[in-house]
Amino acid sequence: MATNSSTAAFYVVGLLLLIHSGYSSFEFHKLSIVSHYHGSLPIDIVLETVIAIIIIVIGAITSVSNTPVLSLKGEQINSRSKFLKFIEMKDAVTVIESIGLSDYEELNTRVGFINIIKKRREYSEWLGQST
Amino acid sequence: MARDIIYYNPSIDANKQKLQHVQDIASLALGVGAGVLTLESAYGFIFYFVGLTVANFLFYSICCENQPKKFFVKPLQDVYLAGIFTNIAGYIMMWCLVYALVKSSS
Repeated sequence: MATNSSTAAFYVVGLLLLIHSGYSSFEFHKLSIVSHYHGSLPIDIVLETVIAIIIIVIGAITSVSNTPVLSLKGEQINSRSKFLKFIEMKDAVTVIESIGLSDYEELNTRVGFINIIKKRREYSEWLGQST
Repeated sequence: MARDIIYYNPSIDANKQKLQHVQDIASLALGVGAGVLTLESAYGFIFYFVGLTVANFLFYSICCENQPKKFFVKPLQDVYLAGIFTNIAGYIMMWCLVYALVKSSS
């Protein structure tokens, strides 16, 4: 998940509001015992909590936005959609084709299983042929 | 005759993972909120269902960019119904924890 500055700002503001409303609620319950008050929670604490939750949810939504991908030529390529990825094959492959790498690249190439000795032998044979 | 649509599975998984990320954070934040508001019994669960549906609606309207069929196979079911019971455990955990902290003086 991408974490950019706007996401961090949403999270910080939302968490601060939530902590503040939590402390206010704690104080309210403490004072209501001392003063034998039997009322409901003040509306400003309720509003602060609801606003904090909405801000945190918006922060979570901004955090899932697509990040630009780097192609093999070194260009930054942005997806046509801002948040999610297209699921239809005809739309999904446009980005993959422009990068030159697929999501299955790790399975296709298997870098860890390359037989380096064999590759070196082939290379030295090729060198011997060319000279 | 309708043409069969071929789907690209890594994109389906990536979209579901993003939705799950939003729902995780929303359910934890809602749990903290329910604890702060010191909700009890059915009110807490109503708060969760309403709150998560609002969060899902925000995700649906902002992220799907008015063409949900392009991002989910069954948009309404995947966004609104799939994650509602899997995230309830995290909600209850935060609800109980924050409720105990806020009410600890009484």
